Amino acid sequence: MNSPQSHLKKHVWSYIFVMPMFVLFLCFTLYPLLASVRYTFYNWDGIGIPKDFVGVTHYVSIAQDLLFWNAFKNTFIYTAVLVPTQLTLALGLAMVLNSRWLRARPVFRAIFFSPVVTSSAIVGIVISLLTSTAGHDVNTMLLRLHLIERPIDWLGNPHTALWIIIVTGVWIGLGYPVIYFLAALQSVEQGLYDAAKVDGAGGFVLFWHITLPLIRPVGLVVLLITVLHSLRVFDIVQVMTRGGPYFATDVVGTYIYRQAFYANEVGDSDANLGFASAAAFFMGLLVMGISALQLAAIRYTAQQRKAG
Amino acid sequence: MKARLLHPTLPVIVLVAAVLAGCATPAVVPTATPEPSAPTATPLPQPVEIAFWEWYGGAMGDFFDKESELFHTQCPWITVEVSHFPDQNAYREALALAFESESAPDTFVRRHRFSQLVENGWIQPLDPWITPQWLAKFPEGSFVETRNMWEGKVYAFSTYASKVDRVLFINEDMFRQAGLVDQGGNVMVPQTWSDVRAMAKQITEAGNGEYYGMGIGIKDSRHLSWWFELTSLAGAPGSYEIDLRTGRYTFGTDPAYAQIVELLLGMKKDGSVYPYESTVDDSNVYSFFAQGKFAIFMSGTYAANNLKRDFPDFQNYRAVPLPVPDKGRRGGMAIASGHGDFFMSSQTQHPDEAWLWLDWISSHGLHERMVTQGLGYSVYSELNNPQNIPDPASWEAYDAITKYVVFMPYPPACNPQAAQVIPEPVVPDTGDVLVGIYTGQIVDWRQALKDLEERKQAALEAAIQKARDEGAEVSIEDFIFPDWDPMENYVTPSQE
Amino acid sequence: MKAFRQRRLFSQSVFHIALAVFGFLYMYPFLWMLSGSLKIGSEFLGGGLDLLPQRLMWQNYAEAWKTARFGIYFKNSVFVTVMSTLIIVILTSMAGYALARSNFPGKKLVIGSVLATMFLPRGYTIIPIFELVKHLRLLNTLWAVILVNAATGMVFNTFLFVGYFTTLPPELEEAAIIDGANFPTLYQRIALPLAKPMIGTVVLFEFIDSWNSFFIPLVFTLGRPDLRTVAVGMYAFVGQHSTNWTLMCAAATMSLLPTLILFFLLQRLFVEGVAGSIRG
Repeated sequence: MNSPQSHLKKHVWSYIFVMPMFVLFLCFTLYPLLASVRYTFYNWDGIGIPKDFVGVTHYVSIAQDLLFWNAFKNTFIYTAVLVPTQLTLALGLAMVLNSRWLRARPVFRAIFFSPVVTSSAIVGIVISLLTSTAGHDVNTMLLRLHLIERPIDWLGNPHTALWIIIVTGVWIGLGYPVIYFLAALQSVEQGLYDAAKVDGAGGFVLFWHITLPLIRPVGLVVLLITVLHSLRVFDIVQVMTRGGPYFATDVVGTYIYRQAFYANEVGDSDANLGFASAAAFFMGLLVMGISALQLAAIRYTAQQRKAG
Repeated sequence: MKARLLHPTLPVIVLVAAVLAGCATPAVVPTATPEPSAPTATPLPQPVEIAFWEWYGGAMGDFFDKESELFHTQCPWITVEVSHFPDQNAYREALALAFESESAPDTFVRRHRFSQLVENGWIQPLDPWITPQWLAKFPEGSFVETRNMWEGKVYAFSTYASKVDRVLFINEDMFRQAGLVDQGGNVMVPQTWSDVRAMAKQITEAGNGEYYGMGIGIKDSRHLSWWFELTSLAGAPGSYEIDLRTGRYTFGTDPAYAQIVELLLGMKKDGSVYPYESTVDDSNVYSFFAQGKFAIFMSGTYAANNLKRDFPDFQNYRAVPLPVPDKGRRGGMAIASGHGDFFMSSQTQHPDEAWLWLDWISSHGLHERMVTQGLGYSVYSELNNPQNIPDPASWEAYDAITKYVVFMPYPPACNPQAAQVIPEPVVPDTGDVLVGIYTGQIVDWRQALKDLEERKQAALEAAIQKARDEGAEVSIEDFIFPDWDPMENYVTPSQE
Repeated sequence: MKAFRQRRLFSQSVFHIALAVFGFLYMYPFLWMLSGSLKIGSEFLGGGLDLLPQRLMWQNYAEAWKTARFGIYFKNSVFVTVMSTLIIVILTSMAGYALARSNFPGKKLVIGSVLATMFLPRGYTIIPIFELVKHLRLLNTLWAVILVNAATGMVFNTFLFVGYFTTLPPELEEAAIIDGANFPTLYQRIALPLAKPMIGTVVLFEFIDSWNSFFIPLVFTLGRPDLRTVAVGMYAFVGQHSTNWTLMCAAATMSLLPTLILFFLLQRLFVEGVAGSIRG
């Protein structure tokens, strides 16, 4: 098993197994990414070859743009609230949908999967109908209780709009981590639970000491995917508020979109993809930087604890 | 089939010339073996397929589908393959990529700036096919350099009537219930800006919580910025333009803008506005109106068509002209004449057939069908008449917008290099600022308007400087027309 | 004992009912889409939150099918989606297995570069990819769409498989190695069958992604409108000044049928327990 020949053979196979994925990745992910870096140094409308070189002007203006930091703040809030909420709910739901005593499991699973296949355009119009009908009823009640003077425009009020978007985001994306967790839960053998129960372990202990550790690798990937996905939120914000009112729900995705594609005064469409790419990169670097800092902080505290 | 002894293109040219007359006016139906005026014994031309890309989508997209079928019956060897792209940004990029990969459509609807189409070499002039008679079809001022002409060559033609499409819609029942009726028993239409505020308030009070006087949408900032177009009627430049008499933006200096802000904030304070402004935008405001949520709203004439299609039982409403300033009207809704919407690609393999399709689009037949189906108003103003627009609300809407149309000065008409001045957009733009003012997120709105004015002015001056750096001979003087009266059409000295 | 059973049955029934009610509210927008497909325009916008159509407008489906050109586009979608999903599952499970199980030189480079690009955006323009496909002479073919679609699924899914394979207990493979199995056999005979739930997940989500992808199929079939997909056709209902909601719902409902069928077919892979478990 450890002879040099089989060792090498094993590595040959590893390369063969990894190569196809890596080649596609290099060609269609890494290369376009590097090409896009080039665009960030130009003013470019997306047609032909970029000609208007501007150096780091875009990065500087973005760093100085209050609207960018506003969008960053909203994106951060959105992510920080959504990720723990959605993943906790998803794990709980996955465990329920996995339990043996649940009848009609495929039906229930389909129910909680349905938002994933509902287009965001339709979700948008349902939410706007909801806010003006059910939301109106809530307003009537609040008015009668004299808690408010004027009906609250839920999506138009800078204080409530972002929270409605967050709730919508949690709801519409819940199906993904539920399914991932369901898949991960399949790898946990029932036998482990049975043995622990024999030893007298209760529900919470089973969860904390058996389930969690075993789904951790997949769970970490799901966590990473959900965080990155939330940082890139665009569809639901654009459909529900377009980042408004007056940038109250502006996220980095809508900020970039607005800068990238705009209609000029006469209504002709124009674009500055150099700026958009720069903003996207700036955001990416920011996120990498913050993650690296967090990782360093975790390592540092872990080291401190070991030393102390 | 006889062997072709003549040069292959000759019969095609003859045939095309002959069928040209036949295709443009549907009254003449060419048969499978047409009998042109010039004698010929030629075989049928080869079947040709041409592509046509449009980004309108919806009903207009359906219209073009049907028109391509009609066209096919008139010119049976030509099939027009229509592609719909309602995502406008995808259209932008797709068109650019198509030209780059030489899969460009033979004909397409413009989404980019006209000057971009020319600079990129994507389009070709229509001069080889147009005749003086064809040019005479169009009203005066339809062909303008840098709008559909470039360096003297014609690239496109106007299709839609020149107008700023904004009207006020009012719910007659709600007006009556509020007592807004004159001695003759007719509904009192809001004439001035103060009327709007007062009537909205009166209607809201009569509604007693069931409905409101006014419907405003803040979901789309551009939609809200239309309220600033009312300032045109006070002689100010409107939502996005500079004052062409002085070459300056005037958001902070012209009192008309402040008056509109006060009107909006006033109505909000009165409680006259339907309180779900964030769910309302131009694509659904008509449906809230039809459901009786509010009595007045501002939109385009197409809202009448939407109402007719989606709420055919709702009929007691009217389209009326926009209200004027209290002190009286000092300007009109200004536009530039001459448009170019449909173009022929420079890469097309079938320019003759592409021309036939474009000519079809410019035909009276198509225009008449477009008007009668309520899809728009034609540049041939005689077609916009009550026979073709039988729905009273739609006709009233058309009448309302033609009242105020005024042709404004167009700087590149005097100095074509002025077309190279393209100001960068400012963020927050007019609409954004207005949304912020309306929600109260901007407290000092006078300062905000002044700030908007300065930012946009700076953007214009930067654009002029940039054009000069690239060699254009242009200055701010090209944008100043001190002798223009906003109540009158501006006649460019060099216009034919 | 019987009382305990009855109590448990009772609480379970209550739970089921509660879950069903919660589920109904949860899937309301989806039901709205289904019912909207059978409504008239004015009912959709003007009927409040009511789910039941007044009349069942089945003709919406026929009209949507025709307008969105589903006849041609459906088979294109099926071909592209099936092929993309197949490529993704095979390539990422292979790569995920190799990355999870072996420590070959260069592994850190692969993981590092893939991880780094997860943070960075792929760019706001398709032009670099377009140029690449153009050089490969694949423009205006469905294979270009398949290739690009498959490529977009490389990163996340590889990590998912790495995570999943890391979780699997190595005893089965060790036993097989002793019996003389080589790397591909381990992958094929042991890892893959155990990874069925994750394969099911990847298949499901990549199917949805590919089926709904709109821009890539559009851009790589510019000169061949007959090669376009269902997602492109869906845009036929969005107009400049208004949207035809009822027809769009009908089209959307038809469009998600393959996904739903796939979802139910894959349920069998989500049965708990690892086949042939090994203990001690």
